[in-house]
Amino acid sequence: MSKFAFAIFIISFIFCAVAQERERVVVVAHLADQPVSLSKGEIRNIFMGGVSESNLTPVEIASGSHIRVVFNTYVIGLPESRIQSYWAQMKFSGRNKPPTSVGNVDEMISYLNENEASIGYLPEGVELPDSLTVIFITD
Amino acid sequence: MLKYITAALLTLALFTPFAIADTHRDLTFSGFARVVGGQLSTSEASYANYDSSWSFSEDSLFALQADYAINNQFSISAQGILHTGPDRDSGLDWLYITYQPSSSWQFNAGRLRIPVLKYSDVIDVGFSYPWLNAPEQVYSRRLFYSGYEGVNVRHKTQFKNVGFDIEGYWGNFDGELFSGQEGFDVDINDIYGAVLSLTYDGFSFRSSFMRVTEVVDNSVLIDQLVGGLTSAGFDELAAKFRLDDGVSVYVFGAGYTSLDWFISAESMSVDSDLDVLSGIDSYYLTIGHYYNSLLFHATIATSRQDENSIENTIPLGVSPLLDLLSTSVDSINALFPTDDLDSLTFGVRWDHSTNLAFKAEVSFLKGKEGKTSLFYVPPENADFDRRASLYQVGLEWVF
Repeated sequence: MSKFAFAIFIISFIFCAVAQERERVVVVAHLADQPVSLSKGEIRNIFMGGVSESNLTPVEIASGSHIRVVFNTYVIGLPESRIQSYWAQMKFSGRNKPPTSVGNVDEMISYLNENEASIGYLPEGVELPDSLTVIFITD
Repeated sequence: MLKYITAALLTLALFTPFAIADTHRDLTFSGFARVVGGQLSTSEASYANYDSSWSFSEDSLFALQADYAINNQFSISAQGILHTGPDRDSGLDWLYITYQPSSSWQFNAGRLRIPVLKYSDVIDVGFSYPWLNAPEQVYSRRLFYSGYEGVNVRHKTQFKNVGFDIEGYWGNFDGELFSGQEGFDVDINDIYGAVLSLTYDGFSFRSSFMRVTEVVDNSVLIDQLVGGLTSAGFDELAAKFRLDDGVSVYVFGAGYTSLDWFISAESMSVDSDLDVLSGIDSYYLTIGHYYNSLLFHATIATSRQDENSIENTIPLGVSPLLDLLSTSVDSINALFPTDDLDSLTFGVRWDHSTNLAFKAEVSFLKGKEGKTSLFYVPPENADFDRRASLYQVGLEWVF
């Protein structure tokens, strides 16, 4: 292999690696007073209808949104269809209801801003109002 | 008792300050529907009500649920289901009041469903599980998805990353105890049970116990036989046919779900104090692979039912009356199920959108000759080999 071909190979490898870098999602909460620290597992439990000492109420972005897919993939760890069938089971057996749903990222920011003790997710880099605190960032 | 509990909860709900109520009072409607068609490969028998001609009426249904939030702690829910199947009556399957004082406690009272198996209280909500036909060996017994009138208490908690869900229930139920070639009409007074579920990351464990303490027999057929045996002096044999004792059910389930695949299993053991209904052990194991919006899955399932211990002690050839009684003992005993069956199911589910899924599946069934094996075999086909395939297609919708 010539040096030139080798250089092309290395450069394209680097570009591929950059392109494949994971998109990150930040989990943010409107905390009442005390700071809260949550693990990924605890966040997953909150969004799947479990209880948490933090008493935070989850808010999700409606299906079809890209950031929802990223959150489901890297935090919940379940495919969308599995999440939908799980909530159908919970709802029609009277156990639980899915989280409050908002339409897009802007609505998520304003909902969290207006509702104390709520927790939601946003794409990394979005400007946050002072009321919201970042709780978790995906790898 | 239930009436008093429901009345007490309603009174409490109505007296809860209206200042809270005004912000939460609302009525919401939701529902689900399924259209399922199936065909059995043989004309010698039927299985899960399917026979050799395509039928869309066995499992298809439409359900509407109304939830009315009285305030932020009390709500009333009703779920009405229209069935097209021959075994089920349409009507209000759920009608209950919920009291939820916090996110970790929930109390329900009214008409509820028995939650003995993972999907037994949502067996009608096909959207919530992978198959079109949940494994018959475990899910066929009508008792397990019957409604009961009673109360239910649920408590959720979390310890580190492990979620705990504990549930207890108690009530009465009126209906058929077993499916088989014949159903026997019985009342069940007092049914109670408990469920413990654990979730950790993608892992889930579930164990469940249920006890039916008292069965009251309304079957004319059994009554006549017991009367005949008693008057002929066969008291011991008569006692064995009396459906007046209890049944215990133990279930253990485990599963793991990730982004790409899942594995899930449940095993069930039924211990019966009724001499005629012998013990049953059954299980299923499902593995599935998610590929975009498609789910490919395979299930093996087995059930083994012990032979019942009834020995026909009536001597033959003594008198025509005793001969008739002896024949009756044999023929009624033969009506009780002996459900030994192995099956292998392959299926695909396509989630077209977040509330609509299409499914197709095929089940290869292998029973045992001479046993019921969950088939209905007409007397003229008694030598049917208990082997068949069931083909099904369907759609599942929630709204």
